[in-house]
Amino acid sequence: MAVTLTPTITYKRLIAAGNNEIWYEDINMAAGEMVELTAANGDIDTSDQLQMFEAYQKVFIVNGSNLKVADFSNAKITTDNIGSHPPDKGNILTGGTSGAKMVVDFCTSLSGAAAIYGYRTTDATFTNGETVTGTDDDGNSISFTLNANETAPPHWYDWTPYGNDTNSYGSMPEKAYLGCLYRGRCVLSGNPNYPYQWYMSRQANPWDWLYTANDAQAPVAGGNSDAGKIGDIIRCLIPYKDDYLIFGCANSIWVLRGDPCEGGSIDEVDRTIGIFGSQSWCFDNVGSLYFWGTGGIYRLPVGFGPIEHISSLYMPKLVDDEAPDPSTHRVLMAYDRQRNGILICITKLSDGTNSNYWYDLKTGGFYPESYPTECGAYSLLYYDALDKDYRDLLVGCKDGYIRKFDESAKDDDSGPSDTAISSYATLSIIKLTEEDDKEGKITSLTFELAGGASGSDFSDTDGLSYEIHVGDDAETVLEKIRNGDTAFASGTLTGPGRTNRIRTRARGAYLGLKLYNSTASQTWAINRITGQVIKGGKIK
Amino acid sequence: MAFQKWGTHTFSVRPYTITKLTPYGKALQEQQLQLLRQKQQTFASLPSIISEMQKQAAEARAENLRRYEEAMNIYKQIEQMYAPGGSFMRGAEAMIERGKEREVARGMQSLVSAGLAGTTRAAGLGRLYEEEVATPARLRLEDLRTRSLAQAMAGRAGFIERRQDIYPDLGLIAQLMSRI
Repeated sequence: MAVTLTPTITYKRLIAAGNNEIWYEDINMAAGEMVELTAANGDIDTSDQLQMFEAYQKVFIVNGSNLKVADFSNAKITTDNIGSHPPDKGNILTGGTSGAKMVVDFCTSLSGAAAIYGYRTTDATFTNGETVTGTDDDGNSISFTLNANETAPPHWYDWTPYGNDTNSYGSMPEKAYLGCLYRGRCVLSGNPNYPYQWYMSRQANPWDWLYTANDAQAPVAGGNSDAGKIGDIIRCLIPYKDDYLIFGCANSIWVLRGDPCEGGSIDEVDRTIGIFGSQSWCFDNVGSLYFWGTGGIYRLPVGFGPIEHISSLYMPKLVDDEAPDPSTHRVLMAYDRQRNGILICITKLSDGTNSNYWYDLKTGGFYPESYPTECGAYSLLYYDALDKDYRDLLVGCKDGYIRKFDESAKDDDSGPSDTAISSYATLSIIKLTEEDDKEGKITSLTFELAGGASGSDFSDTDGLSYEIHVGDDAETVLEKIRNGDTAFASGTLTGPGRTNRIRTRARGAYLGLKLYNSTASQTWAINRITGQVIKGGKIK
Repeated sequence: MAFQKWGTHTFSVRPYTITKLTPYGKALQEQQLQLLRQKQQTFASLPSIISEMQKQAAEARAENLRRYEEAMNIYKQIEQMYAPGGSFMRGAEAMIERGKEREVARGMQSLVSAGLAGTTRAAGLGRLYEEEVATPARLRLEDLRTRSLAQAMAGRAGFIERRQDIYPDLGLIAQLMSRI
C-alpha cells in the first residue's frame, strides 16, 4: 500500500541587514533567495552598531535611535480616524462588509489616523471603506472606517509603545544598541546615556514599557550592581532559553536567573572578567558559553562552573597580539554544529582586515586563519535552515555577501575573483637523540599523503611543499620556521599515497618540519611522516 | 406651704366630721374617738408626704436625665469614633502606614539580597504594598467602620426609644388618699 505523507513544517526565514537595507528570505521563493524589504531602505544605519532579534514572528531591530520592527505575520489595516474608543491589544476586530476578523497586536496611534496590525483569523480580508467594529477592554464599542484595503505582511514600522501612548504604556529608551528576547520580554540595553541600564518590556507584550506596574509580568528596568552602586557598562546580552540572562559587562559578568518580577535574582558571575562586545560569545552544543573576554577566550561551563581561560595555555598574549578595540574592531564567535568547533573572528570594521581562529572542540586546539578583506566577518550565524543545502554557519562579510565554508571549494571567494588559500602546518619540534649533548642525523624521510591510490572513489590530496629545519635547541628551530629562514632542505610532494623517500642528511639535535601550500585551486592533507635517524656527533 | 395643683389630676380633701355618737356604750365611743384622732393626725401630715414624694420624683427625674445624657454622649463618642475621619480610621491608617514602612523596608532588603535593588522594582514596593496589603485592609476597615457606625446609631436610636420619664405614682397617691 502506498503511503503519502504531507508533513506540516514551520517556516524559517533568514533576515539580514547591510548597506542600510533589510533583506529576507522569501518563503514563496526558492530557498536561499533573498528579497529586499523596501520599506526599510535607508531607515537603518548599518555603519552604526545594529542588533536584531526574533520575537513573536517579528524581527526587532536595535540600531541606536532606530528602533524598528519587521513584521512577518500581521495584516495591516488603516483608518483616517480610529474613533473615541481605539482597540486594545488582543481585541477582536470584525469587518462590517467583508466579515474578516483580526486579533489586534499593535496600533500606531490611539487617536486620529492610525494603522492597526493584527493577526487575521479568517480567509476573508478587510476591504476599503468598510466599518470595522469590536469591543475594547473596558466594554466600549470600537468603530472606525477603513481608508484602504488590508495589506499583507511583511511590514516595517517604528517600534514604539502601544499607540505611541507614553502615559499608558511608558517610554522606551531613546537609544539602544543591544537587544534580545528573554522569558517573553524584549530586552534593550546599550543606551549611551545610561550604558549600565537594561530595560525589559512587559512579558508577551513588546509595546508595554510602563515600569510602574507591579504585577508578575510588569515591565522592569534596572542595572547590575551591589546596592547603592551604578553598575558596570553592559556590552552584551546573552539569554539562555528562559532560564537565565547573562549581562556581559566591560569588566564583570552578571547573571539574572528567572524573572525579575517573579522571584528572580541577579548575581555576579565574575568581577574581573568582562566580555568584549555584543556578538563575541556563543554556546556550544551542550550549553557551555564561550566568550572573548578581558584576557582572551574563556569557557563558562554549563551549570555555572568556574570560568576556564582556555586560550591562556596556548596563546597567553592573545589579547595583546590581536589588540581588538571596541571602537574599531568587531569580535564575533559562533558555534559550528557541522564541524563541531567554534569560529572566532576579529575584524577591523573600516577595511575588513581580519584575524580568526578555529577552536576545534574535538582536539581542543586553536587554528589561526585569515580571510580576504572582502570576506572579513561582520556577523556570524549558524542558520538551521529547513533546506539542508542551506543549513550551515553563515558569515556576513564586509563586501555585503553572505558566505559559508564550502568543503568542496579550494579557493576563497573574494567577490569578482577567487583567492588562493595559503595554508601551513608546523609539526611539533622533534628531539633527534635521547642524549642531551649529542646530535642525530636524518638519513631518510617518507611522507604518506592522504587520498590513498590515485583516482578511485576517494578524493585525493593535492601536492604540498615541505621545509626541514634543524638546530641545537627546539626554540632555535621554531624561530627559524617563524622567521622564514632558509630551510636546511625543502621540496614539493605530489600525488596521493606514499611518496619516494627523501634522502636528506640533516644533522642536529632538533628537527622542525613545516608543510604548506599556497597554490590556487589546491588543498592538501597528510596521513603520516616516517623517517630514519642515526646518531651523530657531539653538539659543538 | 399650701396645696397646689399637681399634674392634671385634682383631688380635694374632705373634712371628717362626727355628727353623732352612737349610743353603744362608752368604750365604743372612746374607740371611735381614738380612730378619729388618728385620722386627724394623718390628715395633718399629708402635705409633707406629698412634698417629699415630689422632691424624690424630681431628684429621680434629674438623675435619670443625667444618666440619659451621659449615655447619649457615649453613643455620640462611639459614632464619632466610627465616623469618616474618626479616631478608629486614624488609628487604623497609622497602623497601615507603619506596616507600609516595615514592608517596604523588608521588601527592599529582599531586593538587595536578590541583587535587584537597582531595578524599578524598588520604586514599586510602596505601591505593591498599597495594592496587596493597604487597599484590602482599608476596604476591610471601611466595612468594619460602617458596620460599627451603623450599630452605634442603631444603639442610640434604641436607647432613645426605650427612654421613660419617672413621674409620681398617681395610683399610689390615690390609694393612700382613700385610706385617710
